[in-house]
Amino acid sequence: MLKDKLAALNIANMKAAQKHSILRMAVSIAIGLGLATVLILFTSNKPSESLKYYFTAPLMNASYFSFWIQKAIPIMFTGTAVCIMFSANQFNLGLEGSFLFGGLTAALTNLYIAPNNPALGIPLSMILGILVGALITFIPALLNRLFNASIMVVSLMMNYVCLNFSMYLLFTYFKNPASSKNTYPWAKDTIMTLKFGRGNNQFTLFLSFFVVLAVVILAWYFLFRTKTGYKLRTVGVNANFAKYVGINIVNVAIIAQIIGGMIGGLGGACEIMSNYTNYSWVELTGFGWDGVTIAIFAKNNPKYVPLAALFLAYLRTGAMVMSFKTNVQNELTLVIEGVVILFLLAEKFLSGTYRKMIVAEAEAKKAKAAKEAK
Amino acid sequence: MGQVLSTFARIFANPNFYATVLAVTPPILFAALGCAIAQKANATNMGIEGIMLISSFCGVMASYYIGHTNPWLGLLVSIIVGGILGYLVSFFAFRLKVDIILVGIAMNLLGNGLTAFFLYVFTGDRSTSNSLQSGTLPQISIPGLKDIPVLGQILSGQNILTYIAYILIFVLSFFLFKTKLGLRIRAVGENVNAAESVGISSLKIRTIALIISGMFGGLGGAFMSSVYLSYFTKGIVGGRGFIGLAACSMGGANPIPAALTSILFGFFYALSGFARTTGISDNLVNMWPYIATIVGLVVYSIKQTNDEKKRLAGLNAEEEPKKS
Repeated sequence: MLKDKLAALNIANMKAAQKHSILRMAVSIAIGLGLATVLILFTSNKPSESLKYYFTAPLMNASYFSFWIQKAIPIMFTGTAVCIMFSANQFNLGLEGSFLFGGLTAALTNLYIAPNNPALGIPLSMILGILVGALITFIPALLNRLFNASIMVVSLMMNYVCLNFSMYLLFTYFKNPASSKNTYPWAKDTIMTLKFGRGNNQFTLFLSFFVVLAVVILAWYFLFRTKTGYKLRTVGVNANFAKYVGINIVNVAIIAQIIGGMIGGLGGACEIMSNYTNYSWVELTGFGWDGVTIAIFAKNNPKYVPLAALFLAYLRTGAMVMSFKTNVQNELTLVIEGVVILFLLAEKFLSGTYRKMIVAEAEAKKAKAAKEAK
Repeated sequence: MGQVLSTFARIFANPNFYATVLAVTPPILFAALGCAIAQKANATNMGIEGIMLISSFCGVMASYYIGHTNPWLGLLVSIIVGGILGYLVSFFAFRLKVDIILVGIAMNLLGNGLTAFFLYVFTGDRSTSNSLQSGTLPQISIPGLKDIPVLGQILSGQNILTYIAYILIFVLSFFLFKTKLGLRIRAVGENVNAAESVGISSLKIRTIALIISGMFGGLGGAFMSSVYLSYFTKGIVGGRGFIGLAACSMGGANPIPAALTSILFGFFYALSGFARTTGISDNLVNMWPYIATIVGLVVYSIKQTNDEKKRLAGLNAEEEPKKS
């Protein structure tokens, strides 16, 4: 009898928890978008036009639509990577470096190892990008394993080392002397895209979109359907528990970071082959940090990464179009992201409503049970 | 090789080099001290980078719009804004229970976003506030000291905020280790439950620690836009907040070791600046501060681990006689 009651209460709690998490997500996003609207209204010289572009630009024509997808792909890669690393509670922030070096590796592969041969160049770039990307997140993991050095700090520093080292390589060895910061081109047009139509109606099909979908599915399968993935999440939820049930937490943490770096490197390789014909990155891409945002939105579950990435990319495309059509800066989106993250993660935000929801649900159950008993 | 060595010898023999070390360290130092006080209360203030950025921007704007190019007003506003942002970090982290690292990441996003957005709103320029006169803080030559040959060249004639930075090392050290509030901050950081059990409100103490931490960030931000440069540019802080965080981490969150580490980073910053003029690749030289950070952190961590082992060994040695 008591057991049944408890079970009923538990289910009630779960439903309330789910509802509440959706509510919190909705309210956080509403606060973010509300703030965006207010800022646009106060600062734009053409408020209604700015708002129109901000909220609907990606759906206006095929070219903006393609742009939306183009923006979503890299952050889907890094978002998935961060999901895996954060699931094991490893705050490795070295994805910026992995992504950058993945891109550089792909560029050099297409320029020097497999020139004018995309059929070989594309897969080879991906493989090499994966290896290089993994190496970069592995270094902080290794230093942590050997010397107990802070993963977060070492990985932050690694990003700047990677940036400067890649620029050293670019400017000293690979720069096209006729240009300021570009390598020679490896093809006339981007090698991982198919383009249809012209001008505003140009639709671009990104082959990397299929790659990233495969990555997302594999990552989800790995985290939720394999033994190692289960161990990894256990370490993330409660490292002490994991240790006492005999999981080698150090190895699991390192595996998580290597996989994260692999995905980051692959993302960089795909990005460079999808959107560029020569390599010219002289600053960090920011996609590594975006990955953190995406992983937070997706609650560390790769299943939700595409949705989160499409949402963020939608806002960014809107902001981008708005900034070149009207006078509002596209950095507005960063503000929205920050605000949404803060409210989304706030355990105590709307916690009163949560309690009320649990009570209401439990009362409903009780009333129902009483009715049935009669 | 010989040529490179002689170049370095020339750099190290130049008093200006040491003056530059002292002049480029303060933003890192402010960040490191800010992180140190927060860390002492067991709160990692990763948002220091964003706090520096926002307070730097607000300082410049206040100096131009309210203070008629008065940099002191800008400095004051920077410090106040830093304090407010520090309070916001503590509010989200400890009242609303968001993981403090993620609060930091959100703060950095907000920093990049808000400053770039409002920079354009206020100046119509996408990258700098060069068009607004915001003033710089004065340099001070110390009478007596400035006439001593080499030492005067190094120590005198620095900016007033630079002197303030070095003085604050000792002020913070005194505050943390010799005052009641400092003791409470450390108590909360060491063991929250123990602190709570003797009636210390950990929420209140951490809030105070983060407000002070934010004010240090404000000082660092003001340094960037009223000493290092005389205007605000997009992304002006350039990772110095993160390096300060690293310095704090290497210094075990103690003001004096954290300050020494900051000076070490300043040394590499200055060295990269000087080496640039000698034909060594810019980009290779730019890597030094970051590699130095990683190496330093590893050395510190090894020492830390060894100390811990020794301590445990010592405890075991003490226990053994009791058994017999």
